[in-house]
Formats: sequence, C-alpha cells, structure tokens
Amino acid sequence: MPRTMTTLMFALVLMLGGALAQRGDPNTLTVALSGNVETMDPHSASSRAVPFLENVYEPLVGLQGPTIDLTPVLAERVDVSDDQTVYTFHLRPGVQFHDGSPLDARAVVYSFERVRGMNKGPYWAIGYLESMEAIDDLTVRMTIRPGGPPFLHAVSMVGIVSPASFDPQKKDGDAWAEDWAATNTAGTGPYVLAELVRGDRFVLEKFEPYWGGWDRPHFTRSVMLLIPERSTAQLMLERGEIDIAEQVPTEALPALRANPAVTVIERDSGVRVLYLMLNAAAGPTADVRVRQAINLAFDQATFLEATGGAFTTSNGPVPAEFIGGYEPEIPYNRVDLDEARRLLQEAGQASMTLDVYYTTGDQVQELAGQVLQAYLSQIGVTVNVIAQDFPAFVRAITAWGTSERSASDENFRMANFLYTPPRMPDAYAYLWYMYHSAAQGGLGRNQNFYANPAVDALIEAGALAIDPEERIARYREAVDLIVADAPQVFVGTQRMIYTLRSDVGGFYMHPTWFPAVRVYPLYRED
Amino acid sequence: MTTFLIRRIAFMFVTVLGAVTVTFVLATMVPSDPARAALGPDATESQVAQYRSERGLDQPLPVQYLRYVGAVARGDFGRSIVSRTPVIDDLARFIPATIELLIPSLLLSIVFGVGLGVAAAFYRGTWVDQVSRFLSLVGLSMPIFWLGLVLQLVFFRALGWFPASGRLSSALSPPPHETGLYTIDALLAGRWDLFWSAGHHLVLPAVALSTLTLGIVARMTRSSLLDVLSSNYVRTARSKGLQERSVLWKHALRNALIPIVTVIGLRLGQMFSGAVLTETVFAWPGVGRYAFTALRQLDFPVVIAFTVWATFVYAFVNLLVDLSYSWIDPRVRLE
Repeated sequence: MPRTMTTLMFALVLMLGGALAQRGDPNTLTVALSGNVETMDPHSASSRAVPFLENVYEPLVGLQGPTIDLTPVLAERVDVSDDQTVYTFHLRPGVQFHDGSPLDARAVVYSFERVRGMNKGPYWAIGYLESMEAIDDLTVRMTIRPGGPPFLHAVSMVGIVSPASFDPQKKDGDAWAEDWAATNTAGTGPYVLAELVRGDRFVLEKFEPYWGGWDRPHFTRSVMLLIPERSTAQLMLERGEIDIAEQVPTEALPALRANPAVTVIERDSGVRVLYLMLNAAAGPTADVRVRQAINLAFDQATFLEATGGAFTTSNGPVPAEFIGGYEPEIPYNRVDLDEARRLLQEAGQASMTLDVYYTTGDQVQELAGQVLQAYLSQIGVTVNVIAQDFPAFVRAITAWGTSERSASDENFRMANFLYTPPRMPDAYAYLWYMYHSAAQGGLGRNQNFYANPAVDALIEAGALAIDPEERIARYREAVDLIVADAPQVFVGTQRMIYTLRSDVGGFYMHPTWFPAVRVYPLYRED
Repeated sequence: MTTFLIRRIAFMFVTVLGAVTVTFVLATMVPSDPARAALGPDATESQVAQYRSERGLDQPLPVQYLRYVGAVARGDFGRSIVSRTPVIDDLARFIPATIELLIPSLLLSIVFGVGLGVAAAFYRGTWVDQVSRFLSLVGLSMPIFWLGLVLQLVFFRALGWFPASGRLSSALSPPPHETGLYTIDALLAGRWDLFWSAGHHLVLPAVALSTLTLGIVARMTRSSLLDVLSSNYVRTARSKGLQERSVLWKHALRNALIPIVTVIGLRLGQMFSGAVLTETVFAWPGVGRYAFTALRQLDFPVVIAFTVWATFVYAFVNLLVDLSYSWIDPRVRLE
C-alpha cells in the first residue's frame, strides 16, 4: 500500500512539472460557448446555431456589421420589381465552395429547395416564396406572394450550401442529406469546419480561397470550446486561456470591468425580450382591467435591479432599434397600487389567484415570478409561481390554443413567461408571431389567445405596404392598439454582454447574433 | 461456478430488458412531446407532424416499443433526435471519457480512503482517528460542485498548476480513436505531448470526483476493521506473537474487506453512469452530461441507450463484486 501511494505522489509531482501551460498560438481565437451547437446543418439550425454557422455558410444578402442594414454577400446585386414580388439575384462570380465547386445559380436554387423540402429552421421566413428559376449560371429569379416578412431579410437567413457535396449524401428517407449535414459542412464562408468533437469542441480553420480575401489581419484558426459552467469560463478568461467568453456570471462583471486584460462589451438593449403572457381569452385575465391591474402592480425597476444589470427595460412589443420598432406611450407602465386595486374591484376580482409558469432552471424567470408575487400580493392577488421542465413547457405553450379554452383543461394556464427569439430585425416578426390571431395554436407565439381584428388588419396592411414609411406607420398603429389591450407584462430585455481579452480587435456586437461570435472580422492586436 | 456465471448473465439481460421497458413506459407518460422539444416553440404544426412521421413517433405505442426493443437487441440505438448522430457513436465517445475520469478517481478514493480508515481504526481514539474521521466527514459532505470551483480557483486561477476544463489543451487535437481513453490512445500513437496534456487535464476533476467515495470508503473501512480487530482470531493472532503489521494487513483487513468492496461496487456503478456535476464544472464531455442533456430534450433514443448502459453497468459491477467475495473469503462458494 505505501508503495502505491509513493507512485501516485510521484505521478502527481510529474504532472505539476508539466503545468507550465503552453501559451496558445496568437493566430488562434479560443471561444467558450455556453451552450451546445446541436447541428451543423444551416437549414435545420434553430436560434443559437444560426449565427454560429455564419462562419461557415453565407447567405445571398446579409446584415451589415453592427447595423440592421442589408448588404450584398454572395449576391453582388439584387434587382427588385416595383411591386416587390420579383427579386433577381446576380451572384458574385468566382466564389468557391469549401469542396472546390463553384458557386452558381444551381447551388442557390438547391439551397432554397432544400429549406422548403426539409420544412425546418428558416422555412417559416421563406414560406411566401412561390417560384424560382436559374436564368443563367450567375442569375436567379425568385417570385413571392406579397404579405409576408420583408423578403430580403428572409433571404438573409438562408445559408447557401454546395450541391456537389450535399447531393451525393442523400439516402432513402433522407432526401436532403440531413444525417450527413448534421456533422459535415460545405459552404462558402471564411472558415472550414476542421474538427468536430461532439460535446467538447469545434475547430474552424481559414479557407484560403475565400472570396473576401485575407489581406487584413485575421485569425487563421478558431477553437470553440463548450464550457457549460459560467464560472469556469470566467476563470479561463482571466487566465487568458480563452479569448472570448459568451457568458460569465453576472456577479463577476464588476471585477472583470476592473481587469485591464479583459474588455467587457455591453449593449443596453437586446433582442431577447422577456414577457409575461396573460391569457386573454379565458379566466380572470380575459378581462382587460385585470390585465392592466397586473401591469400596474408589477414594478419592472425592482426586477431589473434584482438581475444585477443583466436585464434592462422593456417598453413595448418591438425593440426600438429594429425596423418598425418604437417605444409607445404605455399608460400602465408605472406602479400604482391604488389604481390597480380599483381596476380589480371593478372587474369583480378583488381577491384572485394567478398561476404563473416558468421554465425549470431559468433563474431570471423565477426571479421575475418572485417579484410579481411580492407586488401582486399587495393588491390581493395570490400568485403561484410554478416551475415546468422545458419540454413540457414547450408542449404546453404550443398546445395552448389548440384545445378547449376552459379553466379545467390541462393546457389551460393563466400566465407564463416567454422570450422572443432573435428572428429578424423587423417589426413583422414580433407583431405577427406574438399578436396576430392566426399565430395561435403552434403557428406562432400568440399563445395567450390574444385576438383583435383591428390589430390583425394593421399587421397585414403593414406587410403588404410597399412604401417602407407606410409599413412602419401601420405597425405603429398596431403597437398602440396592442398596448391598450395589455395582453402581456413587459418584464425586461436581456442586455447583451460579451467579455473578451483586451488584445482581441475588431469585435462588434450585432443585435440579432447574440450570443455568437463571428471570427472573420476579428484579429489579435500587437 | 460456470452455472453461477450463466445464471447471473442471463439474469443481467432480463434486468436490462426490464429497465428498457420501464424507461419506455415512463418516457411515454411524461406530459410532453419529443417532437416539440426538439423543434422548439417556433416550429409550425406541419413541421412537427412531419418530424413525428419521420421518426415513427406517430406510430401506436406497442409498435414503437417493439421497434425499440428489436433495434436495441441488434445493438442499434438509432440516431439522436436532436443531433442526428448515431447514438452508438456518441456512446463510444462519451463513455470512455467517463471511464478515463473514473479510474484515477477510484484509485485515489481507494488508496486514500482505505489508508485513512485503517489509520483511524488502528489508532482508535487518538488524534489520528479524530483527524481521519474529520477528513472523511468533509469528503462525504462537501458538495462536488463547490469543491470543483474551489479547486479551479486555487490550482488553476491562482497557482496555474492545472487546467480547469476539458480533456485536452485547446491547442491539441485528440489522438486517433482506439480505446477512446485519450491517455491510452496517446500512448498508442506515441504522442507524449498528448499523453501529458490528457493526464494533466485529469487531475482536478479526478480529485473532485474522488472525495465522496473517499469519505464513504474511509468510514466503512474504519467501522468494519474495528469489528474485526475486536474479534477472537485477531486476539489469537496477536497472542501467538505475530507482528502487528501482519495482523493488521493480512488477517484483519482481508476479513474486513467484504463490506468495503460492496460499497465500492455501488459507488462504481453510480460513477460509471456518469458524474454530471463534475462533468459540468470541468466541461468534461462524459456520458453523465450527455444523458442529462438528452433527458432535458427528451431525446428518446439517447435516454434508452443510456438506461441500457447504466443498467448493464450496475448488473456487471454487482457480478464482479459477488465474484470478488469468493476471492476475498474462500469460505464463500458461488453456486
């Protein structure tokens, strides 16, 4: 026994000797991802995988830098017909896929057909695409039905893939090579997926013939490590073992801000808006006065303070910096307990119970539930904050509209917390998906049965409008009506926070990419 | 002995089948929808319906059950609903990662646990006993999550002796897959740098994972050994003039081993099926975290495969423990 122990001690000492950590290669960018990227397939990827995959796959048009303006990417130029139903894309010549095949009209048509055939990921955005044809090698014409989301924004969500690599991988029952594409890539982006260790890391390597060129300083390699525990990512960032941490604990931010080796980039806005959705069709919350009373009793400031700076205010259904977004006058966005009590009295709900559901493990939602509980107890409303596992939660909120709207129904609920996803920087995505009556029952996110024919009409009119100013005007009118109906409580907006080593240059935050890192614009400062 | 083995192995398969059945029934009773869970709240009804039919989730339950059992019997666990990768490939990657973490951790707990326990029993009532009992209590009651963070803070952040996460330095690529254990694969490939890095990355998680088992083993060793030390044959051994060392290690400890081995076996089963907390804190891509994520996403093929694995491991370790009884104590006959 003593001999074993000596051996073991010896081994430990040996390992200590090797502790002098190799300083990483300065041309490699190391990133700590906080959550897994489950698939490499750009056409089935959902929220967080989408921006990550933009390192590998590129759309025809994309969002320009830190703005929400569109810029040509694989299409050099787009001609749009006057009625905005015909789009002609002129492709950039000389672009190569990672497999060496050239980018041509066939690849574009294949990619859009793949999205339609798979019916996943970005499909919702291009549902209004009616037909497309390859005019010649470098020209594609697409015709759409009017009334959908802004089409070029929809196009910016579709990565172009190489049919030369994808097509041979199809199998019976897998017409679009989904099995292969889940772990393999063939795009045109600046980086190639060089290594994929599931549950552990991805490695991206520079694609030498990239059309954008490598004249400016860039990283030639990027290692994306999956670090689920935020404190671990924080320590690694402080030690310089990683260059960028997607997420660190909020309480670590003051120390990181004071650390000269680390830069904390914060943006006082975000696409992730947290709502408390109130059932607008059944139960006590079907009464608009009850919904307004709940709004008047909830103090957003208390909640924001309790999150330690992770959240900022939310003042309307559409983030103000997006197309068509603005902050409307919200008459009940203040705390007025007397007024709240009066409204409840009027509605005959002087003492009521409100069941509020949140996703298990979501500390922010839980916190918001507690704040709600504390404030609403002062106006005689008992709040039950109920945790629910994510799969069950998703099923419940999507099944909400599909069944009988009675309080005895298992899917009946009065209120639950909900985030909007970073979909598209346009009011359409928010308004249609959250508030149009057709977006009930799994078609969108209108899970609280909100239905106002005037709102529906305005959203539709906005989508059909050709003049952008008119479109925005319709959307604003819709927002004003929604605000008056109070179908939700605006809880807060997640602030975008990135922490990176100070010698990483070229970093900017994009409103719809959070959290994800685009490697190409970045470089190591000397 | 042979009959014993055959019977036990047959019993093992029945146990696994039972576990598969129970898991399947439970999974179908959970009030949630795997298609929804995989596609997220934004998918349309038609996307969900298509997904269900693609995966056979729209078939009647008995059909789904028979298909599962048939496939599992062929060793085909299907593809993960979420990632579309074959589950068996994933297991071949994640199980070795857990085993690699487990072996040093188990060695640490046995060596130090038995050591502490023997010292405590031998010097019963003295300060050695007190210190040893205190240490094992600390090991037992310290939350692994917290301990992991403290280890990282001291040995990674402050001293910089050991890396805080992962199985390998981010500058290196894993060795070619042979056993899936990076240390061994590195040696097979003759890559000392990889071996070094892999071993180096093992230290902190292995220490964190060992503490609970260490505490249990130390306490079990102490109490079991105390029983034995007060027995008549130990008095006889002493009175016939045997050296104290020989009495302790040869006569007493061997007779005290059975409960210790049983406890180690139990812990081994638990650790084999994953150490979710350790794997999370140290970003260790092991089978525990894999199964945990799959459970949250209701990734049925993964959940079933993991259940088969965990059941098999428990049954197998139990078999080993039973076999070891006859080796430890020749009076035990296996029939």
